Amino acid sequence: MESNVDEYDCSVMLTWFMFRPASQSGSSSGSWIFRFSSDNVVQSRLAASHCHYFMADDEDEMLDDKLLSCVNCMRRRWLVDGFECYGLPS
Amino acid sequence: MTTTWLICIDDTDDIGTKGTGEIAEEIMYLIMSKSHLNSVNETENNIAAWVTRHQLFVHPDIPYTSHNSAMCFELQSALSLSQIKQICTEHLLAESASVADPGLAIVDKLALTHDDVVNLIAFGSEAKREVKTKDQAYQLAKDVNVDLSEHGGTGQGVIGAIAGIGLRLSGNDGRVKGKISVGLAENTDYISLSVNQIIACSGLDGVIDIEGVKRDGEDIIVLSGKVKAVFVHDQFLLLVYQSLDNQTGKKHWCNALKQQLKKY
Repeated sequence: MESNVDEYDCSVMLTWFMFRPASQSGSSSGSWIFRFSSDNVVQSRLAASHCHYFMADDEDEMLDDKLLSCVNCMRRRWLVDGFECYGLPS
Repeated sequence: MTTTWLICIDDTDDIGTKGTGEIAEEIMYLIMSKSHLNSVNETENNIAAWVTRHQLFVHPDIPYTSHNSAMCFELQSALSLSQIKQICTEHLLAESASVADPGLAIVDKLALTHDDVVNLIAFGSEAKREVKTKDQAYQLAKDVNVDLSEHGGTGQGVIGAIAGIGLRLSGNDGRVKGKISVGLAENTDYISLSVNQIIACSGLDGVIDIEGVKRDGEDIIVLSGKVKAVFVHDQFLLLVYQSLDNQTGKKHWCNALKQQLKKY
């Protein structure tokens, strides 16, 4: 999934994620916050299908029966009310 | 003479490294193997159960990597605490991610008093909804005689490790690590088995539906994909839900979807 990452335009992911700059997030490089509920597997799958950075998490940590879904990605980090992605470049 | 050990680890992994559940399972098998080698009486050893995954609180003040969960297992062994701990420690040091903060909790389950169990369960429950500290974890460990130790980094994993012991003791928390073997071949879409057949071939204690009702032995379950179990009522149970067959119009029981397993 990581081929052609140099040519990848992250703006396509703005449909599913909003970028929170470092000044507003706990991360020194900012963070990408999933715009939808973490239960919304339809949007989670759509987002992952457009992402070049998907990396499957341990099977026990997956929450969608379809593999290619952001909630199954090792690069998502659960938050109190959703998840953030730190696979996408800031 | 054997001892019933409860062992829990937390905060051992990082992105792209071996998962905490896999490390826990490896430790379980290592202890079983060493128990066998050191045993005078083989029947006194090697009674192992499943590794369970326990979800903990996710909060900005908690430095987890991508999720916050502890992995716990129970087994009987004639090995001493120091022997068990040596096996665990060596494997944690060898397999944990370099940036991880591993914690390890070991306790003789049957030596716990009722009050100890109550206190451990309370800590585990609180660790699912509030931020706990290392000091609190170590104080509890001292109070209830849990051997709690850290093995690198900040050692923050001790919090999850002792919380996982409490949640396992509650008998009502967590999912079983890995998929349950029910004879479903890789190239087979599904298999239909009765509850009794599932119990016989998997070693699970039974089948429960998402409403919390235990299914009868003759109920037929359609099994497909990754078959997963949960830890409820002190039992390892296959979780199922009722699905409508669009072709026949009939309802049948199916193994749970990942979204349904999420709350365990």
